[in-house]
Amino acid sequence: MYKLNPSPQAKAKLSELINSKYRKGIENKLEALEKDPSNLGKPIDNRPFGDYYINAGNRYAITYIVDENKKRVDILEVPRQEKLHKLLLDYKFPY
Amino acid sequence: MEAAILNPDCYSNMPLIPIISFENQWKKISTVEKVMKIITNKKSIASAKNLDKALGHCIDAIYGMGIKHTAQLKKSLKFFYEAKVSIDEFVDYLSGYIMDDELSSELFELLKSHQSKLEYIIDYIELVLLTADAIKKTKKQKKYYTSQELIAELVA
Repeated sequence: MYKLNPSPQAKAKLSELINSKYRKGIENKLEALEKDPSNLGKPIDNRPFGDYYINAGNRYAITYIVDENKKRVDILEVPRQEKLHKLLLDYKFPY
Repeated sequence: MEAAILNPDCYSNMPLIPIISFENQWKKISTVEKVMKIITNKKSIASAKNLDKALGHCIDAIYGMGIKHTAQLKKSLKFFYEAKVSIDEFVDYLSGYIMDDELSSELFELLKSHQSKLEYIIDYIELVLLTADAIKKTKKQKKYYTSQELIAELVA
């Protein structure tokens, strides 16, 4: 089991989501992060947005770093899912 | 395209380079102002080390568009950060840099016609800076949560 360590801005966004219709989804994600963060998330590769991300709700993603030594998950940001996907995966320069 | 020279008083530590405005495209993007406020406000940046990292990735993103002089651009961005120059000055500088003579006219046309590339860079810079800030703040915290503890605190 891992401890969760949200940044203030991630905490604020998660609070907003958990007090909306996405409550169950966010609860499930946090519980899953606590149990198995590395296998749960998709790797961010070498981009400076964290180590992994998971999709949360329909519109947002959670980016985070896993510290295996301290058994800790640093939750960094809750960016718009489409924006993160564009930055990580979808966008291709034409040259 | 119209060429101008940087104000030597403001940029006394930098080599003068030609600045060319291209329809003020950057100024039309509202996010620019938001991002530049983050860049120019030292309190919101995690540390000089993190700023270097953030700027490095910013340069990588711009480099992907064909900019050659990454080292100089990085130095210049640091200068802007330290000098807290205005958003307009930064925008003028960066757009001038993108219009460096070494870049092809084809790239210029692409920049003009594909606004999404500029938005991509801005999104990239914004998320890099927010992440750097988040890393700093999470490291400072002493309280760690189980999922149930966190959920209980998040629920209003």
